[in-house]
Amino acid sequence: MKKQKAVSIFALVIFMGCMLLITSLKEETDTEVYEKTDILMGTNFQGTIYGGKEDILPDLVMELRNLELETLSAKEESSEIGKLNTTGGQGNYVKISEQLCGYLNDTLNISEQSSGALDPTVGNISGLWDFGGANERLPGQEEIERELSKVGYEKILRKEKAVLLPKEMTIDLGAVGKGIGTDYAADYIRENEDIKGAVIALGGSIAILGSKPDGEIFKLAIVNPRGENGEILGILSLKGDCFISTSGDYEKCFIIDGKRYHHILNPKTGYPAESGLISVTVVCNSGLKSDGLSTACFVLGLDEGMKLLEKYGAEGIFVDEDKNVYVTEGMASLFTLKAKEYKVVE
Amino acid sequence: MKEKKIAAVVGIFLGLVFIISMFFLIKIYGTSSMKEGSYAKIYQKGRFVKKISMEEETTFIIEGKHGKYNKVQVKDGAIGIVEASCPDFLCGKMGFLSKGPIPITCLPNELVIEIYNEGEGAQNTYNNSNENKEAGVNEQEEIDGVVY
Repeated sequence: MKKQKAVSIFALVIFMGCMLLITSLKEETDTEVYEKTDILMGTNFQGTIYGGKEDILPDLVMELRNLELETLSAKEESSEIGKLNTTGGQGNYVKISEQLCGYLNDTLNISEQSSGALDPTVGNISGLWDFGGANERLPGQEEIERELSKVGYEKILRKEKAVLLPKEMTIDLGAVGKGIGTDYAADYIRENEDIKGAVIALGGSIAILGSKPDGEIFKLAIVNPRGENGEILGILSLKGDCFISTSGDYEKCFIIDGKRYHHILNPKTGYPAESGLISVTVVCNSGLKSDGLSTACFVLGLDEGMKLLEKYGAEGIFVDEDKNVYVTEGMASLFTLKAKEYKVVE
Repeated sequence: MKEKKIAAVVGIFLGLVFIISMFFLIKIYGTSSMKEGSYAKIYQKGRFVKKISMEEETTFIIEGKHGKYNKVQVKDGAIGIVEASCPDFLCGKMGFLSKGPIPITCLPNELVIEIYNEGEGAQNTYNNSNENKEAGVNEQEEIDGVVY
């Protein structure tokens, strides 16, 4: 009798233990994880969403594709930007949507604050170089000078939701396009209250939202600007919500006679920026800003770039050609250098 | 006698509960810690096409519409595109990659090859080659994304 009782109690304890374990594990793994890979906005899209009743990623991708085709793309004649670009020199204000107006104002704000280091009117010169395209080449000085005369964000006239472009000037939001995409994705995801967290990457521009199901912080790798096969410069440990973008001279570049020509043009010269920096990563509260600021900082160089980030309350990681890494105060404890050939300068 | 019967029934019941518990435990724990080796996932126009082990030695063609194609090769634990219909061949210029986190991308043909290294399923991992060679370890850290 006593034995039986003991066995029963023992079995009961095991049973309850097992049930407890199962329920606790179930809670932990309950969160659905949705993933999607696609090509969007001329780059690869990788989305991960934690939680939510259903997979909204396919719809999100559709929305982003529409945003590109109907609003942002300078290559699409039927997009808002495409249409606007045919109106240069007509002398009248052209109405634009509230959405595009917002993007344009935020972009031109960075242009002003950076004294034109970011300039959305530089698209025609980028077209001459065609970095990463089929007609990639080193354009002649004359060609560049001819196109340079059509560049200058300050010549864009704005009133309310209308824009007037001078003759032959075009607008290309390519430098902030991926950032705008991550902003759009973030707003779209935030509408779903049951989503706990998300990572949305458009090429190298990333939005991290909420938190991971296990409560761990997000870890983002910054690529080694002189590494091969996806080697890592370091790791950023971040909590949502924030937006991260990098600009570097290693992506979309070619080398002629030992000289590197990369895709980040200095709008003042029409040639690739030579500021002594090889990579700038910016972390802030908006995708458009992080994307635009990383480009502007890359063109401005270390000192002016740091000042620009201060104006926006943004954080950043700058790497110069001597492989020195400069980290803003707010990022210092969140960045871990991994590549040994670099050193962090205090 | 009656008590013995009850004890037996309870025993069998608990035994069953225990077995079912273990089954779920293995299901929950087992899948997440199971090592898969390095593998690559290929997507075309946003659709998953193929998963391939990086331990294989193989060459195959991913066909698209209007004669578009990418010839993919897996050798020596790395994957790359050796031939393609795209005009710029940027995908091929990326060379052979053996580890994430940056995917091989062919924009004109809308092809993405993601590389997943040994470890837990869903997330990319990386190992810093220099560091690990020196330390003689193959430690990997999970990451949620890469900025480049």
